[in-house]
Amino acid sequence: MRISPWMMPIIFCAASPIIAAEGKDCPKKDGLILTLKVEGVRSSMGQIRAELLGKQPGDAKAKTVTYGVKDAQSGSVVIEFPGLTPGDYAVQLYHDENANGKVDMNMVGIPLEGFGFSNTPLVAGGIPEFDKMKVSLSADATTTAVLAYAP
Amino acid sequence: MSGPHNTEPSRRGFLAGTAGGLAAVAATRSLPAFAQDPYHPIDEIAPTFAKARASDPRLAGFANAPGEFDLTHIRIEGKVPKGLSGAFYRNGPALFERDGVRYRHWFDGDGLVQRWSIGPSGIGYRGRFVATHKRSLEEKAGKFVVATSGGGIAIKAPLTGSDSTNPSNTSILPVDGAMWALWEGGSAVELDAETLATKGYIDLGEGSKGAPFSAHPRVGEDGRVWNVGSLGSRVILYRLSNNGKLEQARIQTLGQPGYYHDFLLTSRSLVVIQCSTQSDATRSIENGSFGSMRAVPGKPMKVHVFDRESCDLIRQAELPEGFVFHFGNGWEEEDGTIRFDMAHDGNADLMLEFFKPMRGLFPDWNARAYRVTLPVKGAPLVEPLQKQVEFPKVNPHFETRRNRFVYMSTMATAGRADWFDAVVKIDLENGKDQIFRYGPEWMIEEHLFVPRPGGVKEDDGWLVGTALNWKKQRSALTVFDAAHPERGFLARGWLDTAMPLGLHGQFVVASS
Repeated sequence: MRISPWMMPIIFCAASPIIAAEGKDCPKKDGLILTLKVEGVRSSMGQIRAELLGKQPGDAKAKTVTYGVKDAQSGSVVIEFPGLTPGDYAVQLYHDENANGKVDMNMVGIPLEGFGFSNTPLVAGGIPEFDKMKVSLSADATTTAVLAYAP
Repeated sequence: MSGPHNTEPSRRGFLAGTAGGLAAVAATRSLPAFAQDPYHPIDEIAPTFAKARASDPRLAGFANAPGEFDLTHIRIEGKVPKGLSGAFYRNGPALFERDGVRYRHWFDGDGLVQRWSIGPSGIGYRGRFVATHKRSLEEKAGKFVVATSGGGIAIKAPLTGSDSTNPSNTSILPVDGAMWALWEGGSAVELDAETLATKGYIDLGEGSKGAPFSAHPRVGEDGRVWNVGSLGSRVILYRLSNNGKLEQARIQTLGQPGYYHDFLLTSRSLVVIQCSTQSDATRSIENGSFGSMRAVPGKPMKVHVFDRESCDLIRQAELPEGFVFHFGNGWEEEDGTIRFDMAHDGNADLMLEFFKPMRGLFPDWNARAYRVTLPVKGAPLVEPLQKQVEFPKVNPHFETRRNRFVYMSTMATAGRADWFDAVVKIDLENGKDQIFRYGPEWMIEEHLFVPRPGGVKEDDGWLVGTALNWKKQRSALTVFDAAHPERGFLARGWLDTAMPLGLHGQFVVASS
């Protein structure tokens, strides 16, 4: 099965300490908080797995900052990313409905599980450019992602 | 006939893909002056068509279907021949406008499956739209909200993959008692063979859900089914059991971009032939892909021969520059020489022609029939036959085997270039033809060969096809003696309305 590059960190995340604490909020840290509202969650099965990307002035491309995982709840789920410094951030996420720790895709690399992006009410194809899904953080902020599922 | 294909999981191309090429392929050449032709403002399409239709009754062939009908007995001219019993299915785009917005491209319309039951008790008719995901969203919204291959629609619905946009409008395949409505960019959709009720998307397994699955699967002599899925510069080669279970799905590279819609199956080989096309830089989710599918002058069509069991590449060859939608049949000699027929158009910008009907114009049909010999070594032999043809079909009992006859739609009225008005039987061995002229008031669709039960001779059976009589504003199904179509029709069943022109079909013989 082909894996989209953007999903790789999330797959690696399955073995990370964050997964070990899945379903719980991350411990409070000093710094700013980015709150991600995940809407359009179609079932309470599995988890919502999110990757926080950050881009500092001078960075050629965004880098993974951390991951967040929450048990899915039909309707909406909130994931917080605390302890952040001011800067530009974006989140890409998917609904791991079968809780296998990876995004299931078809043979040509199209997700078969719901996925979404920060600051993106309508998934329209591929992964948006970072600037389209970014949140410029200078104080605590909230962004929304709406999950989209294959028919 | 075509639609969005998912191609690469790249940032930009992830879902932008459509029939015929890598999403990431962006031509560096400057765009020709006519490049914007496909991209007419969407708000102008519907009024332009309405104005044209007011004075041109032929355009009923590209208008919204007047409805979904159930007719138990329709009026028949002539007599249904004894022994012809079953159902003729046809799929085709049949809804092009909602809320004053009209699609840019003919192949974007929602698929309508029509079922003509034929037997001793007469002819019945049923039509149902395929209840796709996109159709249900748009029925609810009362307007178009989903991206299309022709582009221009204000996208209001999520696009997660090909099946988000799948109109299921191109063809149909009988599988294990059910019917699969086919597109080419995404999954097949299962229908009830009698009621035409939609049951859902087919998931063949092995990660194939939502992957391109062409509208022209071919059935081997043992009943197994082969198909291709277009990934532009790659191809998915499918092999299914005779009851529709996936046996193999393998991706092979083709080494270059280039559209392909149909393929050939012989007793040993699967042959993919890419047109002389490449997507240009205008391709996007908003624009779709059809408008970007452009001729590459000087680029020959590329032939790829695969072993149909292992899916390994056996050899490659080149054919004259152009565009081919359809092949009638391919077969293979002992020494590996492959012979086939094709409807080849020297205009590789052919996909652009089918923007025209949405604006009330007619495509420029110039495909010509050719007989092709593909030797194991050396250059292919390409011999011209009839001009202005499309929709080649053969006796299904002769598919993958040596065949002598192919049946096609053609134009037989002098000076006509708008649409097919005759059906021709071509003898591939001597080039002779037998033509039945429907007449200038007709626009005919694909005709299928139905073998006579117990028949042995290749042309022993019936030719069955649908057509639109634009003068009468009625559609009809016509039955011919396939040995002698030129002698006139045996039976014709009439609807009271004009239905939009369809694409491909299948005849399913009634179980005895």
